[in-house]
Amino acid sequence: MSAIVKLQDVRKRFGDNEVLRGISLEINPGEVVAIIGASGSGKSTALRCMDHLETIEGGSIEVCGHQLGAGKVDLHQLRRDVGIVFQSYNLFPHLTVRQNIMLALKHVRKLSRGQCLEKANRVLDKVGLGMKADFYPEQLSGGQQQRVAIARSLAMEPQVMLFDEVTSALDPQLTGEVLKVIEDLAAGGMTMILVTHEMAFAQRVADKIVFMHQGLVWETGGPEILSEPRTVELQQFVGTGL
Amino acid sequence: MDSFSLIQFEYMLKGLGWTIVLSLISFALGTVGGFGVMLARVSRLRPVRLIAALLIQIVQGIPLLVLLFIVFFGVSIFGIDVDPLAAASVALMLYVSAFLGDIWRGSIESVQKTQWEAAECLGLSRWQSMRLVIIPQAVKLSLPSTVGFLVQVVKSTSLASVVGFVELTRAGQIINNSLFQPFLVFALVGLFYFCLCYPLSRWSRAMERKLNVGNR
Amino acid sequence: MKFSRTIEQLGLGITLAAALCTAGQARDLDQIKQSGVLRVAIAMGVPMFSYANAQMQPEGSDVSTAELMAKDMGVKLQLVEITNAARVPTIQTGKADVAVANLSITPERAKVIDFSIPYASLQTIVAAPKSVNIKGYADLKGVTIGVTRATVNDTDISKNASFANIRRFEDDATLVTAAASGQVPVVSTQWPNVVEINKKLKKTPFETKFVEQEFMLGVAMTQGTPKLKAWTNKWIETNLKNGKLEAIYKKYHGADLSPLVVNQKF
Repeated sequence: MSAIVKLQDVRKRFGDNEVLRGISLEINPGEVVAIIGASGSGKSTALRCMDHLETIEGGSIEVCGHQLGAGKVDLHQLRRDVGIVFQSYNLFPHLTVRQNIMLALKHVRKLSRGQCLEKANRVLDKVGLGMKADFYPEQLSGGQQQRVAIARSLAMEPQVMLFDEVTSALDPQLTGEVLKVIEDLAAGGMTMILVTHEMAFAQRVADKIVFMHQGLVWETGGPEILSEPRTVELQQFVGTGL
Repeated sequence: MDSFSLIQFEYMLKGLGWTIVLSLISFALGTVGGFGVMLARVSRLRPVRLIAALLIQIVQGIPLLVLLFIVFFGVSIFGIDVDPLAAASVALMLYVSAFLGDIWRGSIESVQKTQWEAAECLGLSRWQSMRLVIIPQAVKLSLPSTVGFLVQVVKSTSLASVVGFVELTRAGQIINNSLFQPFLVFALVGLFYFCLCYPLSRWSRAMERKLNVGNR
Repeated sequence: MKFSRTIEQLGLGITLAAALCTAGQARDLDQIKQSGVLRVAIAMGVPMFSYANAQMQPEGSDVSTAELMAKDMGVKLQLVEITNAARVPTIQTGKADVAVANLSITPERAKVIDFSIPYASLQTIVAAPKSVNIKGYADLKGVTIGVTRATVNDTDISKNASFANIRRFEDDATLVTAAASGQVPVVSTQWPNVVEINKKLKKTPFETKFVEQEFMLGVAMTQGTPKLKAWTNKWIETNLKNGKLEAIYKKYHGADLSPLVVNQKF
């Protein structure tokens, strides 16, 4: 099975600060991968590079057949193949929940109004928010807004979905509803890469764990590395995390 | 002139008419020009951004009165004869465009960068993001400043008297310089301006409430 | 008035800097006669010279002068009503043929427009009620005197009577109101404003105490119109001799035209 996401020796710096110091990673279709690590380890940056939100200085990235190194990228197609959900949901405040979801369906996928409506209602039901379709984001709780964000991304039927610390901004009692949606998606076979602090969740749901430290992939393996970490750094990290 | 009669009142109404016409022309031409200026200021091309910034600085730095002078009298030096309405329209358009364009550029930039990211990550092009996501939010942000400025423009049209328009303020001056009852005359002038400007402010607040419908 | 003077100076500056002749725009006597219309610029809102009557029609000594001029030229009169600040630029750029707009003949203006010989004059005077004893600048010591800000009166009194208690007002109308309501006992201004003050102070009218300066007023014309200038000068001479210009002045100002103008000695 060939990898759907492949990073090779990727390097990225912000000014003088080298945030990614040569990371390599392979993700197969249908896999759920959790990237964990301390703040500043480069995990969010790595994720953002996969959707070309950041450009890289060295190495190569291949996502859904797109080459994201130097040279031109077909952003339009890339962004249809890859969906991303952000920590701060980033819903469009001037549109209702349903309109948020329908916007890209109409203008990017060029679906008819009827098709947009049908798809939007379907993904909203999937995340359990059908009854909130005509509400504005501001009227929803954080957990609900995040579920809408996931639905919005999902509606575009991407091949890969990226989740950038999507529960970090939520109150603890609201993370559960979001994690459930993610778990359902995983069970449905979506290829997913999650940057997360939720260790228990990662251990339960992920096929592969990637531990990043100081801009490098420090340790990878199955969920068991969280209970039996091999490197000292992961031991320390997990010791504080779990 | 011994007293303020209906004839003087009618003269003032004519002046008011000119103030309204000049204001409408300013709004119409200025909003179109301002939109163009705003787009130039947020353009991806650096030279376009810099030229627009420079032009804005120049026009903002020239008092409207001088701008009117230059457009009406100044160009005559080079043999171009402009009629007063054309001159006033051009000067007001330049003036309003420079300020509105800058106000709107500011509002566009105030919309959080994450909104751009979210829009583009859904596959929307830069122009689609601008049109469907950023501008609607920027409009709401810019409404108070925009209408505040337009209210100033209504009052600034009084400067057009220098190119020959007997608008409201000038009408008041002419009447007062024959009647010498400044309190009566200018209280009336002020009242007329208030009647023009107050509805604008009220409308602005109503629009803000309407655009805030999603929020509490 | 201060603002319009600054703008006028700015206008002069702009056009001097451009240093390009607008002769191409100007109409000389033949063209005017051929077109059948004389475009005369008047500054509206100047008491006695060019103001609006009760029917909001232009009236005054400048207006009557313009009417007579057009009649004698055998053409129709077209009044171009402008503001004070626009007087010189309007003539400079040929937007009117002549200006009869109480324009003082000054060297700066003469650089950019042509003037006729004087047809009237403007006196700056110090005025006060009969009971007040003032004969010259020295008598203003410690006296409260009102002037309109940034006018020649302001400059003159500030220079020659700085020991007076000078109160500056924003425009002529405000000065008139202040004097009529007793806020200032003495003023330095022009005669038309004194007449307005006296309309309200019927019991203790102001009178002229002494003349500070006298400014000659000329008809302004675009440079490069020699025939027009020659005709205008002759016309003024003729009408001073036959007393018509004196009659017009007396009718609207209630005082005699200055002998300096009548005898053309200045």
